[in-house]
Amino acid sequence: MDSVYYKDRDKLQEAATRPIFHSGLRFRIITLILAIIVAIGAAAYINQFINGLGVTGLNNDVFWGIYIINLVAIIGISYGGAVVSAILRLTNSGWRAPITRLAEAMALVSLLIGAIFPIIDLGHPTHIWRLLASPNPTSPIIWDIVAITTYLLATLLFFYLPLIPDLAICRDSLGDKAGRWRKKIYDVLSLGWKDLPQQQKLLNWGSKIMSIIIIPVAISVHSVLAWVFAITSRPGWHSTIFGPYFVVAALFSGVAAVILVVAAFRKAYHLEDFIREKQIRYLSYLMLVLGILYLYFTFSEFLTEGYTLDTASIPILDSLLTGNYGPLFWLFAIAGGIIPVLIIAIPRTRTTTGLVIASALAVSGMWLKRFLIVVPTLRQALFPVPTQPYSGSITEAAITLGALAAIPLILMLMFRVFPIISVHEMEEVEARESEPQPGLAPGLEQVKGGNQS
Amino acid sequence: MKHARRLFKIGMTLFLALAVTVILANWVWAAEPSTSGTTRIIMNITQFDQGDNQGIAVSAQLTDNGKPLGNDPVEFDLSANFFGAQQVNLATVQTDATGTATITYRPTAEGEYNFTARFRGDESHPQVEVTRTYTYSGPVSQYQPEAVGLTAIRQWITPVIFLGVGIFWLLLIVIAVRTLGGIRRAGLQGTTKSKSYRKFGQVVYQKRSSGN
Repeated sequence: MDSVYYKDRDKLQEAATRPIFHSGLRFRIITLILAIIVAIGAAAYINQFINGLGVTGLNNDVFWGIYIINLVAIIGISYGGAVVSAILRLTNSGWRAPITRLAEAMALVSLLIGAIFPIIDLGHPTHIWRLLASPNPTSPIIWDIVAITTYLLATLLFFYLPLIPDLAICRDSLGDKAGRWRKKIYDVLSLGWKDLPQQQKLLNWGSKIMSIIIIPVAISVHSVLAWVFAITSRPGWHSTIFGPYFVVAALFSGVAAVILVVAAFRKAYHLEDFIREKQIRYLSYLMLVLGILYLYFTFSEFLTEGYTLDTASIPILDSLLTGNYGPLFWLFAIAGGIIPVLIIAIPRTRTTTGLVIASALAVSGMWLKRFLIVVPTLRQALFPVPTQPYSGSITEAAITLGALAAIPLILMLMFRVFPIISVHEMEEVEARESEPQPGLAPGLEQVKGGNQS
Repeated sequence: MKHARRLFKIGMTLFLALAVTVILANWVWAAEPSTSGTTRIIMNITQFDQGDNQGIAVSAQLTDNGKPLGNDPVEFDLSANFFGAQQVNLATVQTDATGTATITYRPTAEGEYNFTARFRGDESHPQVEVTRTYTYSGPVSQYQPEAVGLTAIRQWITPVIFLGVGIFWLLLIVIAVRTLGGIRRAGLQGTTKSKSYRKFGQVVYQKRSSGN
């Protein structure tokens, strides 16, 4: 019996460290392509750094454009990863174990990328210094910085704590195969982990506390982002529903992004034995609920704004439903909201491929929705002068694509160092689920174990 | 007789041609408003000072052939360098019985102001407008927000939020120090590794095996 389990353990460790040792031609080609896109984005930013925000499509009226849309969308994705992982950990969902590392890594990386956008939007990074040197506490921007920094710190800790035992596994089991610099990283970051009861106790305490803390922190971050819009007295933004509306949007796109990341790494590193279709399907159920909730919020928002025939809001609703932005709005509603929900709801289309398509549509649709929140409101004149149109520029597109490419690139490079599956957590869950239930006959334990394996 | 008939025909033809010409001319002229050039706007800009109420009064008198045009809309624009050169519409005012429309404006700074008064025209009058520059020196408008409620609460909101964020950061630091520092210290102090250490990863499976 033991030999079977040892074999399983070996298989698990091998699978978890597979990306560390397997960098075939496909990996190199994908890395190269992503690196080129990131380099083009960096070059575009250097161009903006030298020539100023004039190279963007931003103008005096539409002063927030693609950069702020990216900020909201990418941090939303991060939020989804962190909250899903925290909730599943707190509720002791056994099926979470193979995907928590991917979800948490995605949360951290997308947060790091998303947090760059306020700096890009400021035009010159030195402006950050002014914000910090003479902060204006009544400005939402300063609260954005405080919220994002707090969330970054919490996410870093949330990602790092469950990683410690796995780093110790790498330190002890990979030996010289790991290479000198990886060995050094494992040595330093594993914090002398020896799986002592005291260490386990501390780790469990820290992980549990962080799982609890990360949820309100993430909610507050996205609420602050929502309030940056909602506390301005502008039609289309000034809404009490904006806080939860943004939070649900973030969760919806975040869970969709987790599905995309999990499915991509699962396929690329042949992790099908550990990350099963079940994991992707369960995530899609969460996505289904959140998608329906988001569509409900959208309907509720439009109904309450439209029904009062408020003169300030009507032009925006007109432009969204039947005007200039109508095609984009309906593209979001149908392709980004209704179709993903239907794909998940219909058992026949609820395959891994179907769910990946639904997730890709949801992530793109939610980006589009953020565009429809930001731009149409800014196009509404506050003064009796005509406003200028906004359609972005090549610089903004290049920086956006560069940032989007940086997320998978950093994840791929990250898993060249860190185990892609949380071995410690897999073992913990397996141990808990295989413990004999009180009152069960010995024979039944065997049946239970057999069903689960 | 034959000669008289021919004369009659020529006369009739000329008469019809003239009638058609008159009708056509009338139709063409009617499509265009009267462009006699007699519709005018006379703009008058004065500075006024009535105690707390100070500023510029811009009045425009709309006349046609010297006769005032009452109950017609006059637009008042201000050329402003507001995010670039802009024509800001200040107001649209109906003329009174004397053909006069007046607005008052309190500038935000001393200096030159370009006011435009515009009548967009109607069926019988063309569009006319006039622009005048006025150099203002006097008291300027200052933004004075109206007093709002919740004053007692508002003054505490920012410090309370800062305090909350500070406490939260402290909590994160405590968690990090306690967990990471504790793990590190325990690892350093643990001279002998736990039984499970060498077989790390196997422990749970052994437990499971023993359960069976």
